Amino acid sequence: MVQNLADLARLHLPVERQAALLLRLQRIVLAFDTLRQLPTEQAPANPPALPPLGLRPDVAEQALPLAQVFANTRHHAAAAFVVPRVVDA
Amino acid sequence: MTTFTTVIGLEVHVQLATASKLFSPAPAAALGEPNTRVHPIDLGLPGVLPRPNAAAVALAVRTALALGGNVQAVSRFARKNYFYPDLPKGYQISQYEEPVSLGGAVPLGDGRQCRLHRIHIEEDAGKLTHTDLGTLVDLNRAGVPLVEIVTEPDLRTPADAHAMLESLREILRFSGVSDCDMELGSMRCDANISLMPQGATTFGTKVELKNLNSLKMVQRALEYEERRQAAVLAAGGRILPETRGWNDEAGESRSQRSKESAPDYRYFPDPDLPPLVLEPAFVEAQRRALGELPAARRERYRSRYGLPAYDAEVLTRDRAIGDWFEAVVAQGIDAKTASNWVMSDVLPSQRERTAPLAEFPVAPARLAELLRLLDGKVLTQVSARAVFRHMLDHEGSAADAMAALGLVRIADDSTLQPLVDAAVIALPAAAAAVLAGKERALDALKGHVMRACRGRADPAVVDSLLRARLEVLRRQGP
Amino acid sequence: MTALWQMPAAAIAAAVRAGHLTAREVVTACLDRVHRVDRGLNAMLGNRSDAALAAARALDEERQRGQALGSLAGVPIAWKDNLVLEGELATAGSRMLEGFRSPYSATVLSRLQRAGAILIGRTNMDEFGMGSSTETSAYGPTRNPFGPDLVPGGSSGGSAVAVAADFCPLALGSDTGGSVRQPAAMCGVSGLKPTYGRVSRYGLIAYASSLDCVGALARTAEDLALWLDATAGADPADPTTVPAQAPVTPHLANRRDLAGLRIGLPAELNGPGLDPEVASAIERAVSQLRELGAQIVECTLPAVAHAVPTYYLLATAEASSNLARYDGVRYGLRRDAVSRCEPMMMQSRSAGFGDEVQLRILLGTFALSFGYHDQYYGQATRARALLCSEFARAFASCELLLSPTSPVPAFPLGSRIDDPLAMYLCDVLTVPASLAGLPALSQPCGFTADGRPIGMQWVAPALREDLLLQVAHVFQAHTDHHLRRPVP
Repeated sequence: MVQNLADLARLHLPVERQAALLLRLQRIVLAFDTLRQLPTEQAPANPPALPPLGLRPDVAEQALPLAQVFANTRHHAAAAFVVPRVVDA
Repeated sequence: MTTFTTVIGLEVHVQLATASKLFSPAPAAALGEPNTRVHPIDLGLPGVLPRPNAAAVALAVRTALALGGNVQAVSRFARKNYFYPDLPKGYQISQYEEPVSLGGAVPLGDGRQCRLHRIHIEEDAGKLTHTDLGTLVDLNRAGVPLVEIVTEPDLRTPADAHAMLESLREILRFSGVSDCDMELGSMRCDANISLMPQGATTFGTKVELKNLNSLKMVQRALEYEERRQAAVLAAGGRILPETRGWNDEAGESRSQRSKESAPDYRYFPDPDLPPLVLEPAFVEAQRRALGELPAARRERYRSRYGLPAYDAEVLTRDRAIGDWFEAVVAQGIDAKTASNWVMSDVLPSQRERTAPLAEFPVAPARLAELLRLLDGKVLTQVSARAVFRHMLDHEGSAADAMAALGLVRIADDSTLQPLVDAAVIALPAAAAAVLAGKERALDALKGHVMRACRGRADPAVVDSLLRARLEVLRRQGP
Repeated sequence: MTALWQMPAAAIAAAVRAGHLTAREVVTACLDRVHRVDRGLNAMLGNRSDAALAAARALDEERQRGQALGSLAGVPIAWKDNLVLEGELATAGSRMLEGFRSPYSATVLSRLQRAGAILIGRTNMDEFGMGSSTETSAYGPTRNPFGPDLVPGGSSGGSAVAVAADFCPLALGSDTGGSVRQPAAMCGVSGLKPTYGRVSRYGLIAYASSLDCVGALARTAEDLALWLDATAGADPADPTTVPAQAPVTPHLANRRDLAGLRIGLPAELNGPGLDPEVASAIERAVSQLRELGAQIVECTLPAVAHAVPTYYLLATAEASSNLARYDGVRYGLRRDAVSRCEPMMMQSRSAGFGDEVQLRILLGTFALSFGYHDQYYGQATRARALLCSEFARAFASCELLLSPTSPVPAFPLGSRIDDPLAMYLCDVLTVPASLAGLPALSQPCGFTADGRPIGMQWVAPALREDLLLQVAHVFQAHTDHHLRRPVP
């Protein structure tokens, strides 16, 4: 089960750590199971009311200069980010 | 042998024609050098938040209205979580349980229609290019606004799917929502197809088809898949629920290796975006901005202007064409005449110039002037065309063009009088008819004068000279 | 004679505006103190000395030219390293963002600069805000100046220590489940978590979007009020912000005492499980509040019993999504020499995230996953709504709620870090206000026998920071806990 979650979350869990992590998770989830007892049928429809969604006028602004786009990575070439090959391509 | 009913549903993604992206102010135009249309929001940098675009919402509502959908007063953005290098945040902001529109339908052109399940707004992902160096990521397209249009599985033939897409494209182009160009990627389509054995009550296993890059390709791929599935079922096999990529060169679909049968996207409402509340006034404004849809306009051209179906079809290919045509008619020009000229002269010339109709060198009013001259027989069809071509390249009125081309009306009495006299002598029966009160016979005399001077005589002068000459004749007596 | 580095922000700003003090003097004094004292505390991850002095100089020149200066003119301010400042590093306490420099600034930091504040450096924090002790930072723990080997609380431990150790009068933090209030309590300073949406989150590295609030730590209510007025208000870059409210500073001293104030003491937040010294410090504080004219009323928030699971399920769910962007593709740590993209992402993430972050991502992924989504995430959402309605009911019979901030005072480093669940349960007093989006303030109300600070927490109805600050101001006028400094 932990392996499935790790895959979904793109985390690499070494085999030796999986058992300990699973145990921690299980303890927490078990402790949190009490939440199911809470009678929430009377819960109002919405949590803290958010302000109505304000919409931005459709005006195009200056984009980031290329230098800044790649400022925090060295994995770029020919104005593109480079990643190792995607498998199902 | 069992016969099958083909069942097809489509998922169409359409890029909305906005200036900036859905959640960032970077320019939306996806062309240009890679990664030159990127904002920190599009990069998914730590700390950024989405800023929703008003025009994208407006165009999405217009899309729904144009397709007869029920626009929801409240809808929510949701996060679709998955990992891919073209997805900067590791989730796509889309809509899940509360989309902006439910229902609707796309006409298939023959009275039938394909019902829609829903329409929702979402952001586009970036583009990947696979090379030997690795995979290159361009985020220009990441964040461009899309609407996703999901149909009910109402289509029964690949040809119907093609017709549906053509109709959808026409409606959305007409509405100014998108240019719906599959080659440029502003419209993309995935298809789901299954075969239902006759007599069955449930649909068969559906297969998803991807990599369909043109309307024709959609049809070809569906035809192939229809045959493939029929062959499998005929041989007693089972259809696997899978995604297959269409390979147009090879003319076949191929199974795409996918790890999970149904990926777990863990959708939840995006906490960074309050619910989208659409006031009735706003929706009404979009409906007004939408204006007349192609089908309604075609019907109006047939009934109000009496235009044949073919004309109506051509004039409603584009909202701009119809508007232009109506501007000419508004000048008092006969609808069929205007239509003929738009179809055979204006549109071909405009296509040559590749500029939009709004920038066409001859404005509707100028063409109307020309057509009035034609109608008044000051010009012949041939000379009118010459004048038109001249007006394309030169400023000035039709009259100026006529002068430049040496087609100016002769209006002086000294030149015209002999021609008038000659006409009266040449057509005594017509002259007598006019004197007897048959006004229409004057046309024959006029025509005679016009022919004699190759259409260049001023009709008004000819008219008055003829009447004067006939008056003299009348007084002279039989 | 008060040392420059012991002056409150309000006094510094007034002095700088009046020309009695230069920004340069103040900033130099504070940076000096950092250099002398921080080594043993590790509150600061980086100091912006050159830029800060240049900004101070520029401000002094403005003053000389006769230009009007802002409300925080010359005030040195440190900020938690999960707020981005253009051109500066931002690590969020993680290896994942080691070396990352932001091309843009958080709205909150821009507004402070416009008000004349001088940003002096970044403070240490639990990795991505996930922790209550600043022990999960990839850059070493921060120590509490009130006792050797004590935690300062978390996740804004660095900022709490910066104020407690007098590096600067005001420091920025973020509060998702108590991360400003709890370290404030453990370090003997005051901490304000505003109403959710009152201060822009644009530029705050996200942990849990519906819970994260930018907050501040300081010694005095007045300084917190100045901070709120300078930074609060709608921001088009953050659609969850609310329109600007009336400034709180002008009305801060409106009350002389607490006559007419009804203070609710929720049974669930003032009951069993409290460290006995914490319980008695609150009792003493409540007596003092009574003497000041307040009326104490009982109230109940039954859903508090489920607040911790509710909080952790929602927060980790949102976090699992917010942290998905750290995949090594465009920035951040990337494991080289991996030949396929998906494994590259997995290895990069596992190398960049610490254990606690990975645990919470897994928990959050679980809460959202198919087959469990409604039982866990869905149920937590409903529980949250229930808690909100209970708070509303409670505020029908009182103006403010009061409880301890933390059930325990500062504990020894390393004593709880191996039991995440035990650590989570310590947040029970602070997470309710986070879940309800309500403003809350922690202020010192006493000390343990061995000198560890104890804090009490006020919770007000939405957008009533004015009440929080007025009452805190009154309490500070009649006590001196907030002035007590750690033994140097």
